[in-house]
Amino acid sequence: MKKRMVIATVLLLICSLVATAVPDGPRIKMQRGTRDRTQRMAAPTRVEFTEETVALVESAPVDAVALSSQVLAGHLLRRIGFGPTQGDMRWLTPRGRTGRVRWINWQLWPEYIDDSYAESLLPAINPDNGDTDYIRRWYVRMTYSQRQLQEKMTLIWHEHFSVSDEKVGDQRYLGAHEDLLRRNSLGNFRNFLVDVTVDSAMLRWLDNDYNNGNDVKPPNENFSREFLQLFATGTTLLNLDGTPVRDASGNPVPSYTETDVRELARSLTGWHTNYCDPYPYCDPGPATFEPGYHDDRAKTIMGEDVPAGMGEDETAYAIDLVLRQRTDTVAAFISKILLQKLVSENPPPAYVYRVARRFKNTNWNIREAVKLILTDAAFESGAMVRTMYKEPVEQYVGAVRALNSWTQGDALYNWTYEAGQLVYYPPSVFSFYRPGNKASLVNTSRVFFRDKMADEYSSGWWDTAFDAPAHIRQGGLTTPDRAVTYFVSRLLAAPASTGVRSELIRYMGGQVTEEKVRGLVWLIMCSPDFQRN
Amino acid sequence: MQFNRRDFFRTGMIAAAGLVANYTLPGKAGAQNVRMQADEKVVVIVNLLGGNDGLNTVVPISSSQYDKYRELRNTLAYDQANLLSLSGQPDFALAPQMGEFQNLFNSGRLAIINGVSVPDDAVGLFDHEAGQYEFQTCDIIRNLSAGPSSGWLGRYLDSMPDPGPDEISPGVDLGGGRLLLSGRNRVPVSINSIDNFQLQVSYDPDARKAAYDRLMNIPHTASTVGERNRQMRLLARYQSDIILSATAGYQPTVNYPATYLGGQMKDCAKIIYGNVGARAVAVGIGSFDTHSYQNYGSGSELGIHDTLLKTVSDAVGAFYQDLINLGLSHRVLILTISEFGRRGYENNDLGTDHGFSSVAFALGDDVKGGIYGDYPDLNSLVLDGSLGMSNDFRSVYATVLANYLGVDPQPILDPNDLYPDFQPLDFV
Repeated sequence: MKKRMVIATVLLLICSLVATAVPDGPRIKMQRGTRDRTQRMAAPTRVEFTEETVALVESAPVDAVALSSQVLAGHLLRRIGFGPTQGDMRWLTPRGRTGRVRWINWQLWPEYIDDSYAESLLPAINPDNGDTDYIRRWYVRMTYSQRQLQEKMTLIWHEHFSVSDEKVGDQRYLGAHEDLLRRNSLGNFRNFLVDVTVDSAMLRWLDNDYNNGNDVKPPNENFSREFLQLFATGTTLLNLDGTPVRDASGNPVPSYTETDVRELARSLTGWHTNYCDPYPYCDPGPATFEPGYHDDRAKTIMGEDVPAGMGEDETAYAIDLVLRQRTDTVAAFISKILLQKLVSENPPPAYVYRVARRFKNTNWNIREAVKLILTDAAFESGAMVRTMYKEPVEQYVGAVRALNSWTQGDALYNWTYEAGQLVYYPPSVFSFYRPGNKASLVNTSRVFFRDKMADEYSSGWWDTAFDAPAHIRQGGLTTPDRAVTYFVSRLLAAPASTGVRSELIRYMGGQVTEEKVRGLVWLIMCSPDFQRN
Repeated sequence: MQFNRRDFFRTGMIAAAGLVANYTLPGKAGAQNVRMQADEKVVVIVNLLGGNDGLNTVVPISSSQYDKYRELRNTLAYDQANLLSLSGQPDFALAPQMGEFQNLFNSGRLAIINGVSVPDDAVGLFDHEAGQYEFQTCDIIRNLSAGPSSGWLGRYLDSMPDPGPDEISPGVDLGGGRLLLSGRNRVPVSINSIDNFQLQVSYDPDARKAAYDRLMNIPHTASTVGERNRQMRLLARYQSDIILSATAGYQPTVNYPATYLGGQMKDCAKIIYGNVGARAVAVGIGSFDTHSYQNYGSGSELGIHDTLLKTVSDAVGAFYQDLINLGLSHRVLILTISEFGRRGYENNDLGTDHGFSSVAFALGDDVKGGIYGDYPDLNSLVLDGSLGMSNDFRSVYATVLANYLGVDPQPILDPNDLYPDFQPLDFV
């Protein structure tokens, strides 16, 4: 008898171990055969509790709501993707930190995540619709893709490189540009910079297309300037912890001079986009290097000489030069931006330092930097959880995911356009908002837009809607109390803050009708709690 | 507890933790506006975002300058025959698309100020972000240790009394620069368009609005993000009610152009008509960063810059005419700003790169039309081919503050007392 119980217990243990071994996610079981198991099945990353990290965690102000497993799961899913689905939360909440670390390691290798279901939902591209279908497809991908981290990183890089189709004007270049962003999103940053420099959309956007280095008039400086100012180094020299280097008088030191801008512009001449007819039914292919347009003379950038006669190789050479001459600055500049997008708009210098050091030491490995960001103890500290603003894309796609809604991207196109965040239409090279200034997305005019989106989404009239009767049925929502609990949990992945719950119940007016449920969803989406990322 | 307007309009945040803002919607404002001072002056800033090419906006046509102009810009230079003449000004002409501005100049209401820029030791020359920051704040050395940034007009608005019961924030940002209108202790109201500036409830409206207002009255203590969003919604709801009822009777007396700027200028007219306490309004128009395909000098084809100048001229012209017809034109002074001008020479992309000084326009009943300041000599370009400075941008602002608004400009433009007094010009 005892022996059987022992065997039964052992079997039970084995079963539970197997059950927790693989996150099966909301819909698709992961394929087991193809990925590098040593990477994915690695033990949860040990976090080093140095004095810095301990001080960080201990000094964080305690949030009014305790950092429960539910809250931390929701936090993770909002930061590394576009917010929780019910299925994601069901998997993560009971598994605590161990589960979250496994999830992170799973998401860090999107190439091993089967995304065929999401792919099957993407709207087809009709070449006659300009860039509209590309934009809709990306919203649908953000909503349904299992590779949530990859999609979030793709958006982050889009905001960084900030190419606008308003000027590019050819959706075929846009498609190639999006592939480039996605392909490099967790890859090598140096290769990313080289790829984006010769990308057709970027050539058009920042005027490096047919930029002639052998004309009597000097070449256009637009790309070179923005490459330094926005993409690679930023305006001032940085220490590895992101703080500015200062001169003897205490002033920040510029990281490039006007001469550097001009010399780099000369180095990067020679590329041009290709075109084909009949537009838009053919593929123009990648950009080409034209030696006749390239300024092949010797140059000096940031004090280092570039030899004459380098031809096409000069593009990568000049980029490598910048990275060589400004290594710490680039490492800190990019690391801080990634932290400002993923964790906190005011990351502590110690955190920046840890990430920048890893980024630099791995020779610009984005995946390694992101992994460190997400598994660092600071990521889950009270100061970092639910303390960021949501940008419109995060807010809207998050609402769609949270309620298992259907979308083909049309309404999301309209809503993000009105909110000032239509992807591929950043208002300027300075993107939708500057890193560290998500607060600028909230003002009196913009809050009306957010609440208007919530009104339209909740009304059920648009292509992007949730099935209220199905939720009422499946959730067993027989009383206002149960309805409020259900929708608060789905939309916030956290308890509602003090006093809000009773107002939501009061609104229901004693019964659970479809209209009241829709109004309830709207109220939650307008509430301060829902604005917290 | 009664809604505390004073605290609310200050920084948009209730600073001390634990202060409760219970907000009850004021009763519907009556159609009559019973405010005491219905004639106060309004400054309207038109922000040309991206760096407006002054040299192709106001073109020097005295013979030596014009020859040099053609030499620097053999494709972009306008043929003299296409330029618009300015009465009494043989040495200058206006870009071909600025017909409305030509009329306004010739009727003596438009001033052109030459060579406006930051001084050449300002931080971040040729940088959009730095340039806009400096034009909005007057902080040319990035003196961030002096406290949170504020705009020069925001600092002026700080001295305004608190908004009365039928009034909104004295600063109204329609898209021209929130920082410009943000003071040390006040923030502007941001409005994208007046029609959209309201809460939309497409079903169960009464119960939802009531629940929304009750919800937004619950202080949110768990996070700054949540609390700021809550207060922003309260502020928006409150001001939306005031604006919508005060502007309901407005009918435009002109056909505003169907451009985005046209829409902003029409909303600006509504705000002034509505008499809701606005003292400074900022509108913005982008795409002035014309590195390529800026214009075609000799042909009839319109480039980007041509279209932009036409948009500005038509929209601002319509606005001013609308105010004249409504008997409100004595209330405004309109001023254009841009973060820098562009290089004297064209690049190989039919465009121009970032430069130094540019021109500014001032328009209004009180403006003394004409041209102010020397045109930078095209034979003495500075900073790698840019037009030099004739008027520090702060002297333009000093003119507005001292001569139009009647206040001492120096403490507003130079709160840290770092510079000698800026001398107002004579255009108003």
